[in-house]
Amino acid sequence: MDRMDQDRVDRKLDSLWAAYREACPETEPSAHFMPQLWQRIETKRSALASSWFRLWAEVWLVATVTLAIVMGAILIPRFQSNPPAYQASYVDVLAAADSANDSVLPPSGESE
Amino acid sequence: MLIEFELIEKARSGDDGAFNLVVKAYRKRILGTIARLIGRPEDVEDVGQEVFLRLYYSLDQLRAAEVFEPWLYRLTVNAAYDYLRRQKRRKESRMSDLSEQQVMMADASAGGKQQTEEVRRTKVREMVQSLLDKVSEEDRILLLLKEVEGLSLKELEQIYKVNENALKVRLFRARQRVLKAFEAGEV
Repeated sequence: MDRMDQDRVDRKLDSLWAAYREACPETEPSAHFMPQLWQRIETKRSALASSWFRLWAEVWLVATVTLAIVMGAILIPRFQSNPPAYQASYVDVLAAADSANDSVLPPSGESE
Repeated sequence: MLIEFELIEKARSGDDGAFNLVVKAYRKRILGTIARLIGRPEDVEDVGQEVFLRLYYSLDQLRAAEVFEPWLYRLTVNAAYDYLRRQKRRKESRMSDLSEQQVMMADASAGGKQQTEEVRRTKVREMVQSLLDKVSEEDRILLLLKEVEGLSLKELEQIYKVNENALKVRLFRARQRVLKAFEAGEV
């Protein structure tokens, strides 16, 4: 196709765009357009609010679990490294106390 | 601009009344653009509401009221793309649209002058839509915005976020593809 044909087709296309622009009817919004739009806005707003709430709940849950793990990791080894206050059993302690009492009792001959 | 910058600023700061006025000022124009972009009149309002819904929740990201219109067009183009991706332009419904148009044309041909004018308009619309169906969605939307909506290169730059030269190349290629389809249809 030569240059003249190209220009002719070009011009035809331009006039077709212009005719199309003119031929397109104006789109009138229906009476429901605005109420439906606001309904969609409200629906999304409440969905966003509940998703924020869910996000916050998840954040708090994760933070709580993390804190519990960290506290456990710090405190458990500390308890394990300190010796407990009472290493002996109750019976051992009683026996030890009893033997101590025996040692302080006066000899039987002296008491009479 | 169809409205004052001040109204956009008010809407941006969360004034629902101002937002309502912004929608009322632009809805007709946006619905017209959507009608041409998606080519399915029954879904125009739904896509239009989606555009304004996105506008409502993204208005706080708008840099300045001066770039409001390109911003709104960008939202419109994105919503149209999303719709077209969802629909994938079902062939069977287009065929029924076409037969409806043919019936209208046949009816009109028997009528008076007004009907003849309507037939001509329908024919033009049908011709351009079938021409645009032969190119990609990207070409279709770009050409409609430039040639039919009459957007300037500067406005298109803001919508597509590309520089003028890249845009010119894209427009040239899109136009060449449509010209090719146009010539093929003419022969």
